[in-house]
Amino acid sequence: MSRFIQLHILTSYPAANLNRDDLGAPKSMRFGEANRLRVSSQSLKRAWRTSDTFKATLGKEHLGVRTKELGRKVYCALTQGADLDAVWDDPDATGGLPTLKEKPAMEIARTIAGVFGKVKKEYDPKGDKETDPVKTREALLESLEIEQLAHVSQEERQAVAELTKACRASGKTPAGEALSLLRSDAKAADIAMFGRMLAASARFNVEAAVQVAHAVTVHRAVAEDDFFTAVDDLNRDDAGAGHMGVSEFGAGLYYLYICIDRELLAENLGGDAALVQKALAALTAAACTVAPTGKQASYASRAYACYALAEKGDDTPRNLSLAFLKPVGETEEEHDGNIGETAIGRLVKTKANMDKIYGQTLPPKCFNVFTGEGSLAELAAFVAE
Amino acid sequence: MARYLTFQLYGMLAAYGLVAVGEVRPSASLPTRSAVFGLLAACLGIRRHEETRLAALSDGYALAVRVDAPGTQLLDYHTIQTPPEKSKRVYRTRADELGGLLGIDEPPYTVLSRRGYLCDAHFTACLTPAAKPSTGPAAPHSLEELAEALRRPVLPPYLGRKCCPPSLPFAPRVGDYDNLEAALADYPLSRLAFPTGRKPSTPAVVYADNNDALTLEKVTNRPLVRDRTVQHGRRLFEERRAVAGVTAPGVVTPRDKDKEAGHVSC
Repeated sequence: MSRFIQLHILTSYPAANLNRDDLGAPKSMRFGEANRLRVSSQSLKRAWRTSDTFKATLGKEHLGVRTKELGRKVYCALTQGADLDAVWDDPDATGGLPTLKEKPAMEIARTIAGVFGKVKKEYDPKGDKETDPVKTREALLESLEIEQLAHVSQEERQAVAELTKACRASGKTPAGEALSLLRSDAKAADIAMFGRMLAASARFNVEAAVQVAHAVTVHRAVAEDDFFTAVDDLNRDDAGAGHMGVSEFGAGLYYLYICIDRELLAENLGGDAALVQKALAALTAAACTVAPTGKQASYASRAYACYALAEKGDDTPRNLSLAFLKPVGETEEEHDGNIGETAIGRLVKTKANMDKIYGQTLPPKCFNVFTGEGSLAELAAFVAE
Repeated sequence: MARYLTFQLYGMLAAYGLVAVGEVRPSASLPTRSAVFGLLAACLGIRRHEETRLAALSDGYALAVRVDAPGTQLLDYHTIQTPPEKSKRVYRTRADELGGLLGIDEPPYTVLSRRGYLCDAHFTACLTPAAKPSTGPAAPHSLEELAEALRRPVLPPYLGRKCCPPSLPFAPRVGDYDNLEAALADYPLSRLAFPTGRKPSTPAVVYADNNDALTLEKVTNRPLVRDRTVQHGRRLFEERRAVAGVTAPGVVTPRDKDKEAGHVSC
């Protein structure tokens, strides 16, 4: 299997301000002695990670459930003689398993839920003047809720189910290691891909398996000023604007490079091959269809990739930015051409030259919106396989 | 005669970090010693926590860096959201950090920083086994092993910061030469290998680790460099006296003879 998967993506954004610097202007850089617009890698990663594409492709089983009801579920499982999975979907489920009394069940439920967040104030049966047993029970169950929605992964849910089982058998409130194990093997695909550095607790550090370069325009581009006025709707006396301002924006065809270390990704995900494939498919889809959301309300600059090339291999990964070192669209023959097609031509040629000169052979796969070749589904399948 | 390993370092962006406390995280103007050995460690598959192997690697070789194209400096504005630290609370997913485990009145903090980068900088690194390993062990890997690791790396290599992938393969070359200058002179800067379109600096500036790496008359400066790392349970910066001098760069097609040399033709 190939260790490295490289993605080269061209996306054209119309007027936009996707990623701003401290002055509110689109980020820029010098590249090949020419000014370019730029989108930083962290801005891209955040957009992908929080995208619906990630949610849809990775599925809820790897993104977890947001719930306050963990304590309720544990309590119901313990008192109704059913396992956690049964009460997860049906709160009134009963079963033939041994049941615990109200008080120890409450203790256990509060302790387990406490791992995921602050649990509500403990239920006091003496202080409750309510005589209706249905309402009393509801008050008790509510007291077992976590105050905010907690994000629970499927592995964690599984671990809670196991722990609930153990507590049912022992009747004791769990403590120490039993509790800290709960979330330690959470397979968070986002962290496996993009890593995490927590200075405070090094043991939770994860080395990112995905490397993302800053996206940069293939041609010369500078931020332009948009002078705007806003009119006061109620003003009848003065014909002038109620407000004037300047906001900066820019348009361009951006080249984006991503390098995935497939083995490291598998290692970060505990060797779960199916999850690795899902993560790769999600990343490919997001990188080709999801843009940073900066200033969407003003520019609606959402754009899909017009060209994407994937390569696999064990050789030193290398960005193909060289193709655009000389800004596109500046020679006589490129003047009336389509910048997109010229850029694709340059990219393909640079890859071929690079392969020849450095003796690399990397099986490629691509799609091209200008010619209608290939598809995102095929590309994602190639990356994930 | 000594054995030298020579390879190129070129990327659209590179970031060779210096001591960074506070808001500004600058980049040095040339690859730091720790950056080069960190890169080799990644290629060899040495992980961050393997302090002894990292130390052995760094101690085992003398390094020189030739500045082929200095590039331009870029200071990038960068924001990070980070959760408040609370004892006993462990964040295990990014979702936890950004809200999953946070209270309503507990927003994630925003940390501002400015990160320095080098745009379009091209360097040639040259390694040779350290002269006499008096205390430490000898060079842990042969230069051929290092070259092979540069060709087929175990972990993804990058130029100082993860978002700075190389834009050219490292193209390592191992050979026996009389001295450092001969080794560097023999590293060809072909059109593809030297793409920035300008003539490389002639004569090129070389920064070397050890005093005898350059012939005396070529030494122009002995800068104090704060980039050698020492292990004390955690890595720290240490100062070293480098030696800088000028030397002729490798074989480059003269500009006037080849008008297309300006840019890689694609």
